[in-house]
Amino acid sequence: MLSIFAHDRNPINHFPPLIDRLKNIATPANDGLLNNVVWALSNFCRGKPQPKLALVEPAIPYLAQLLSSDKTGVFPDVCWALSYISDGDDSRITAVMNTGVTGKLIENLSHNDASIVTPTLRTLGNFVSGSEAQTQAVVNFGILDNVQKLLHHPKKNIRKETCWLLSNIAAGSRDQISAVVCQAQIMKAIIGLVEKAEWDVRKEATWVISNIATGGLASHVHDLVELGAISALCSVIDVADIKILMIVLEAIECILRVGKNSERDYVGYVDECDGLDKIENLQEHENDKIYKKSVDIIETFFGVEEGEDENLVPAINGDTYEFGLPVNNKTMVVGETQQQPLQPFNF
Amino acid sequence: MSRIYSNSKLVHVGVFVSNSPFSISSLFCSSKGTREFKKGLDAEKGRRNRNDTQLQLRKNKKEEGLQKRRAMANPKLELAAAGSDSMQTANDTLVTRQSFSAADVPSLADIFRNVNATDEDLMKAITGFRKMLSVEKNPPVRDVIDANVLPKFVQLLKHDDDKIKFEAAWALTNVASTEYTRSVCEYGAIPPLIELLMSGNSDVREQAAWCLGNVAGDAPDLRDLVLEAGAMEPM
Repeated sequence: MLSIFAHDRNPINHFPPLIDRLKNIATPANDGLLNNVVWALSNFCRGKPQPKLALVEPAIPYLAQLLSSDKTGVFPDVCWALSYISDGDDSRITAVMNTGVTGKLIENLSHNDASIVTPTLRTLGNFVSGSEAQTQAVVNFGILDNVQKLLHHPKKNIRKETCWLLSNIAAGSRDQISAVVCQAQIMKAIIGLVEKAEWDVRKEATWVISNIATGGLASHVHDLVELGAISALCSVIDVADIKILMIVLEAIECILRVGKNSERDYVGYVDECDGLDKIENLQEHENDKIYKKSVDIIETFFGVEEGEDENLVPAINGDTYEFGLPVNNKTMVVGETQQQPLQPFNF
Repeated sequence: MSRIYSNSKLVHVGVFVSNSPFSISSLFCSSKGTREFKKGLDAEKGRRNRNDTQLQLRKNKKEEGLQKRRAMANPKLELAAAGSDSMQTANDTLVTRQSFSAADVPSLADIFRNVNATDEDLMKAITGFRKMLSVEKNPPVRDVIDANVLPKFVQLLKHDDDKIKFEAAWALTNVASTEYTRSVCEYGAIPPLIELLMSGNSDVREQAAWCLGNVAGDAPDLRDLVLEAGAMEPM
């Protein structure tokens, strides 16, 4: 195999130099022409099913080049094109990220022009939906320092896309979850959006909290609770669709489990914000999964009348649990939850 | 006069479907590390892909009126255009009439049918059609197509005269901006339009790109036709 490619010293550079192709973009006769050609090019990249990556890939270096120019007038169409190309599997994301546009895109998130911010955010959202390494690269470029303002943006779509982006970072490694949780302003804003926002935004914000609760460390969960995540999540129960209801219940379940293992009265928090009543009502839900999950939560964490022997609890869970470390695997397996000792109530 | 493109571009509107199934492999791939909290939980966790449909078409008609208003509002452009390779001013003197309607279709079509038509005649006819198709409201696209003149428009893309090529590309741009985009492709406009992306005249290049943008913006299969015909490289 090697011998076939031995002559190719630079296998990445299969294209002729920039100047020989896409001349109308590389060396435009005037700005009007450039605007129109870039707009047309963005249409070449747009739509689903997507065009084959190989057909649109040659445009990427030219788009990247424009993004580092001062021609801000074409930034919206450049970024729409990049967002179309990078929407999908990791190879599409790599094709765009490899041109080194990440830093510039993050910088443009602070642009005043929403027509630039919208496609820029979509492109970065695509990047963090990729592999662990791709997500980490975007985090390393400092995206979390640049999205906080966008959670308060007047445009609903921008707030929604920002939440989606954050939910995908929060779906990642412990380090990535930590990076999100460390951003106090972001976290406050997200909790606020879970409590009150247009439904599409609220849904995405709920995903962020649920991903942290279900994927994070106990310390992350404690942080969430301190920020008011329990009442925020419970407020979503009233309005949620099945999918969102499910991720809310999973989040509440994880929070209660961490509370139980660390002897914190998160059960009381849930009850205080009428969460217990709401979850009880869900035991009659027509959807099987919702019904089972709510029964499970009630039985595991709210089964006070069955939990006569309160002394059992600290002896088993309290001793093995250490703050900030991964929780004992055994307690994390849903199928075994009913065999766990019950948490005493301290109202 | 400098070419000004319509700023009436349609905005991208995406419908964001967040409760769609997402890739499980992206969650459990080795690079994710160990995640004991995940055990036994719904496997539908992890990164969620975007899954949206674009509602609005991205096509633009190039309007006569808009262009004129913009030009008059900006005398600098007119000055700059005097020495440029733009042709709008020339067209306006060549064909003095500004307004064409569906009623003019038969007489303009007759010019195309005349085997002895001069370049000047052809210029008049294609410019008339172009103006007819550039009105802001309800251009008579159906009438133009029914008159069976689109093959002639396409043929004129290959004419020697840049002005005629330009007018033909503009007329086809505005047909492509309507629901009749497919008609433009059926008569074989894509290959000559791609040729025009390499024209020596920047106005012709721009208009060809605009028309191809409208074709590609209509539907994924037309977009693929454009790409597979090799439109990217000469962009």
